[in-house]
Amino acid sequence: MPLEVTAISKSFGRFAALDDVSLKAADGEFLALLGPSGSGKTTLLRILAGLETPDAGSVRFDNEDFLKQTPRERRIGLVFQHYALFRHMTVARNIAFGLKVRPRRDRPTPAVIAQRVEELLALVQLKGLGGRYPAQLSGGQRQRVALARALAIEPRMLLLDEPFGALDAKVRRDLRRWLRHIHNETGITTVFVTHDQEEALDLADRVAILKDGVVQQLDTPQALYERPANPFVHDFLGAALHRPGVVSQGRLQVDGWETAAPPGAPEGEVLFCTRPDDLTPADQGLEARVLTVSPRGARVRIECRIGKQTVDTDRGLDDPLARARPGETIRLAPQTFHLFPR
Amino acid sequence: MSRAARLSPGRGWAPLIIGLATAWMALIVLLPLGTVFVEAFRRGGMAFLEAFRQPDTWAAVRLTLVVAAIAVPLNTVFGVAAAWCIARFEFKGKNLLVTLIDLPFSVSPVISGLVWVLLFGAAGWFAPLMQDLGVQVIFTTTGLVLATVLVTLPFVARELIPLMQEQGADEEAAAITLGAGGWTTFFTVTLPNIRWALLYGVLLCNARAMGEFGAVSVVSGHIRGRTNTLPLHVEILYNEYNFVGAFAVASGLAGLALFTLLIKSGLEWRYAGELAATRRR
Repeated sequence: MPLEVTAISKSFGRFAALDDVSLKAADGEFLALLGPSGSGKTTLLRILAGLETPDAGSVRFDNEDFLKQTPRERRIGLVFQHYALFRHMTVARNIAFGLKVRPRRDRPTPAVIAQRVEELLALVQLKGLGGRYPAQLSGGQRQRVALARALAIEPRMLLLDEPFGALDAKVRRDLRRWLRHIHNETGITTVFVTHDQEEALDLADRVAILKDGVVQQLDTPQALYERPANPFVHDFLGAALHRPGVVSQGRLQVDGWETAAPPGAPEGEVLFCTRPDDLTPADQGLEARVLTVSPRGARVRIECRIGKQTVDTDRGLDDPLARARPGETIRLAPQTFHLFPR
Repeated sequence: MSRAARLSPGRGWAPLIIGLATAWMALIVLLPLGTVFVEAFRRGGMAFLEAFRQPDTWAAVRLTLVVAAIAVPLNTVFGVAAAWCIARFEFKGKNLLVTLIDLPFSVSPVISGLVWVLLFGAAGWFAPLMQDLGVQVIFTTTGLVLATVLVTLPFVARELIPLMQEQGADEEAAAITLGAGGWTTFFTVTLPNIRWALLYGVLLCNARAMGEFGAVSVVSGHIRGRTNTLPLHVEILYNEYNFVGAFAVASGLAGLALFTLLIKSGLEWRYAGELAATRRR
């Protein structure tokens, strides 16, 4: 494992930003750190970059003790949410910066630097814009310059801090696809911080979900979805229906609906977790009052009240649920669900 | 940063208010400043030049420039360092430091001069120590520099703090992760980002350092040819009923201030394009 983070803790005053965090990333892996704001994900990234020092724990990369190294020795590329381009330098000088500040014996010649800048401009599809200033570029272009600048030093690891957070939805989707493409081409181990679950699941090989400075679960997107470790992970990964229930003698009871409890279900009071998109009309199931049915072109959005929770789901026109009428009470059976002890 | 929307001053009260503001400016700023030059030339060019033939005047010019040349760099270094600490770090006593930086603006310059007399004067706290060392502070250039440094302390820091807080530390963090050392980061990233505000702060600081009267008046002792700065020299000439001389020297002082302003405007005009490119977001 090139990146090994072991038992990292970091507090700011009385606020514990990270509490005993451990994780590993394989060579060339694309790892996402996903969590709400204040979960400690950015702090962890800044510790990896050498901009913060942890109170306890260790960070190793390629069997080197990262915490004993300066940011320069670590040789990592960091991309910021707000680009952090040098505003008084042209795009070309921004990209060349990491090469120009090297000690004289390691510094490439000006001709080599210029050639490298051209290659990187081509890689980030900004050929011919080397003479512009950051202020003359769009947000998406600026972030691509920032990535080129980070890649210029041939980093051993790429760290991205909410890189698309300041961009609008369409640019964000384009850049996401393009970032994955760049990762495939360069094969650099990448750690990516985001609060957008869709972005994390779409991009990353594995996702670490953080809450209150603690890693809740670290797994592939598929495994997170199929086997969430706790209700928080289930809730964070998309629209969720969480209802209190009881398991006794192999039977599950939720909001007056009774069914066979799956093998290995916890006994006693449980939290029943499913997703609105996994609900289908059935003879037996959760009682649901249909609140609104709004057609949206080829899809229909149905809003229901189940127990004390209101959920909505988008369905195709031929879906059985699409024929529901507002005000009627129907029964919905979940195709899959998870039970956690309460 | 987006540009604020502007209305065209076509209708209603707007022209009246603009007119009033202009008239007020003329009355309060331009008229007195103009008087200085008119009075200086009241008896013709020869009388004007007479004031500048006096060796005492040239001694005052030299002393003023020397004091500014020491005080302004000191406050520039202090201002940049203080603004950097305040904008980049959270530490205990930060609010106190910010308040202290403002203090010289809020106390009377006379007090800023008097404190040095109380510390280093003949009956001051450090008087015995100064005597042992054989150093004199009051009634010397050293005293003038100390008083001027204290009075002009806030100018550079005050210009830089809000700007550096707004710019944030991301660019510096980026430079460091790209392998730049502390000084390289300072000279290639921090300094270029603040250079206009820094220049403005330095010019203001310089204008005040050359023009300061109250504080230096207390520590100077008014020894002609030795501890007389230009503003003090103007007062002496005036008190001796040498009005043309006083106004001539005063016009020289005003000329220095206008020259400073001219440099600033010139630089702004020269680098207008770059300013626009780096300020827009």
